[in-house]
Amino acid sequence: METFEPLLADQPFFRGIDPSHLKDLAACASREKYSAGQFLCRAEEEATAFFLILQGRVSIEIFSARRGPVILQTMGEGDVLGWLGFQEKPFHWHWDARAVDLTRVLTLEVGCIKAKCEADHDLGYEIMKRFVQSLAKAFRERSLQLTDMFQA
Amino acid sequence: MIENNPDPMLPEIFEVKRLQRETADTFTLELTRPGGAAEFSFAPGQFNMLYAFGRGEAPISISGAPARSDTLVHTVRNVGNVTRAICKSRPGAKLGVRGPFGAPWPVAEMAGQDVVIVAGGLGLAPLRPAIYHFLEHRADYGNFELIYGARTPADLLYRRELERWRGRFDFRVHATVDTAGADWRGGVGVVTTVIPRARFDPANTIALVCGPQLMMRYTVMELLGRGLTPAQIYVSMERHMKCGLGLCGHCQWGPFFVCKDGPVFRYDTVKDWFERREV
Repeated sequence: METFEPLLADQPFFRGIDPSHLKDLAACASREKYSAGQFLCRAEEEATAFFLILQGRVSIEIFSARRGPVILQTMGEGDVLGWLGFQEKPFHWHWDARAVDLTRVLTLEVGCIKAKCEADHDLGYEIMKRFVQSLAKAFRERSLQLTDMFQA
Repeated sequence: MIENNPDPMLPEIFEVKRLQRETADTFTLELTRPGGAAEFSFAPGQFNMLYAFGRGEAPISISGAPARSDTLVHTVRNVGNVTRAICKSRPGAKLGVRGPFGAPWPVAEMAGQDVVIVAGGLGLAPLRPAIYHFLEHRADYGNFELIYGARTPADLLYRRELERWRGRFDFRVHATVDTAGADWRGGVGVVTTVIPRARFDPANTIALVCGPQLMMRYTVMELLGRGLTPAQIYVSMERHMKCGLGLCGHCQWGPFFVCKDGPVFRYDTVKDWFERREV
């Protein structure tokens, strides 16, 4: 049976994390493959997992009745798609994520990770630090995108 | 070979040979000297003053291949009276040309290095002669990455050429836009998001950057974050250039005249001025 610890350790998101945490995380991980055009998640669905992209590209889309699907961002190898909702009520996806090319991901089950984090707050802190960094980066990128740098 | 015009203040008459629409407001013009094949020598990154008679002059980067100097190529965005007149030129129309002016990209000094080019919007135009140079002398350089961003897929310059370049095996082309419909197969996101994925050895890389100043600012930050030093980054600045010789002072930027000392600057020489709001 494949162990996901080396694969997780190799991901930028988990780089440098204590090896003892990797075992906990690996217990919540599985591999998935999406063909080009296949959805990893759809808006309004409950977010039961988040994804580490191992290979391929994923487009983040919102659907507008007038414009059809609008791509907000594309993600690729090493990126994290989604996040842990730590609130009590179920968290739902706000957009669609569609594979642009054949895409391989590590899927991390949110319920499982949350339980591990509750049981081991050191792990919870490590995960939260990484998500905060990831969110800050996404926030910076979206701000630049909204600035419309190319306005003549 | 006919030398470039020896009097830099005297426009030389060129004829529009071909005009091609690139985007809704941007055109590429091919100019030749009337009456035959005559060469025009320039270095990648330099610009000419193009004169639309009766309207005025505008500084426009040279965007053609340095090796193909029988034709002078400029890509012009229609943003004002002069550029509107230039963009409305038809084959056979006459334009005045003064130049070439300015400091070029240091393409020869970059031999043996990895090359990273980051362009935004119309900023690809002054970089295209450098790209032609690197492709023509491909064996002299290491990894070669081109990162190009625009607002939408319809705003990408040289679309066919980009697709052709993307099909080559000896350099990587990343095209990204700020927003796109589902039929777009390239990246969506600002150019800075691509830099972490670019392949280069930070200790042996030179980066050339051209685009809106805001884009250049964040691009430089990302490149520095990848381990480049300010001396390994070159930027092309845009100011209100008039004479092209550093005489009139219109393009003064702190201690520099952009038309003469630039438009290409090594970043470490200008970084103190890069974000000054007063200049």
